[in-house]
Amino acid sequence: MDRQEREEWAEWARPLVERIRESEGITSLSDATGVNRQTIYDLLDGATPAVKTVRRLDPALTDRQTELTSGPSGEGQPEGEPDFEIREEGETSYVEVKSGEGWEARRKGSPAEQLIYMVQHPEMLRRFSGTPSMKDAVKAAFAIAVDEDFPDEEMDKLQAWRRDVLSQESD
Amino acid sequence: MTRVEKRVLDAIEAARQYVVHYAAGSRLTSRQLEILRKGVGLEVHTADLSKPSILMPPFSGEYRLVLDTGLSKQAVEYLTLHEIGHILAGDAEELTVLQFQGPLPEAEPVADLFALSGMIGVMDCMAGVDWVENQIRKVAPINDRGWQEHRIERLAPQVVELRRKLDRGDSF
Repeated sequence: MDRQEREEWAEWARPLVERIRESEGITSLSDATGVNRQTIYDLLDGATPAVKTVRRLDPALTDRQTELTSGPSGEGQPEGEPDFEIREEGETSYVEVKSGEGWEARRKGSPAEQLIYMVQHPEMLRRFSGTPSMKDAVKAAFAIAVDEDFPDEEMDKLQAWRRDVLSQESD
Repeated sequence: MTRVEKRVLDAIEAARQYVVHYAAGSRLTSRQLEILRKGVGLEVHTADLSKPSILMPPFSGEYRLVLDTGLSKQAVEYLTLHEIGHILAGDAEELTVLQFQGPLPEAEPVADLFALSGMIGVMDCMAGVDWVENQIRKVAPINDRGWQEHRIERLAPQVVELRRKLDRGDSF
């Protein structure tokens, strides 16, 4: 990647960095391919939970796979230096964005609340093949809750969430 | 050594905290897999899913893997090891967006190679890449989206190369 291309990537990534910082609940971007620029912006526009890295394949930019990874607030960043980094591995170029506190800081609430938080966005759960459907996410959540013998009040939260999900699907 | 290889070898080294001879030559036994699973803090559940598996980042101190009820025993072993590979490589700490429309992200070959290095023994690798390809077909779950064949063809020579490096003790 030459200097001009680096600057193009930097220009593209700059507003993204700002939006990551501004968006409550979005601390980092992680680990996806085939996510185009619009998808990333859609993610940032919505009430989307933490995403650590987004890799994308953008045909408009010579099919380079791009990765945006997590990073902190930018404290300690030398003035004038970009808060992201571009690196290359073979044919692949990566953009690394520094921002956010990550999932660690978000691991709060009861087991049911944490579970709901994770599975309500099934596209963000790691899976072996393909995107899990919301139905899969509901089944997975209940399998865990039943196996782990969640208390009644936790199960009630899950049931309420399931009803909400199913009602939204039927709309 | 490639970045992927380095990460796989680091994950193998981490696995050896729990199973001393992980990827040392023999195939992993069911008992060793169980020790490894418990060691990394992975709880496994089953549900009737449309996909083989879902892995969740840790909460309440455990990772959760939910496997489809229709999987074969070998597929269960492969997927469990694959996800343990993600955990040991540090790639399962966050909610992630994964869309396999382009080249697989680095995390996936790391997890695949970690799993295969435990499931494919020295003798398999000595028999050559074609043999290893067939072994991978036997142990890996059949994929429903058509990329499994491509993935196997790419992985087989990587497994053989990794085996050579393991035998030379490149990382340890």
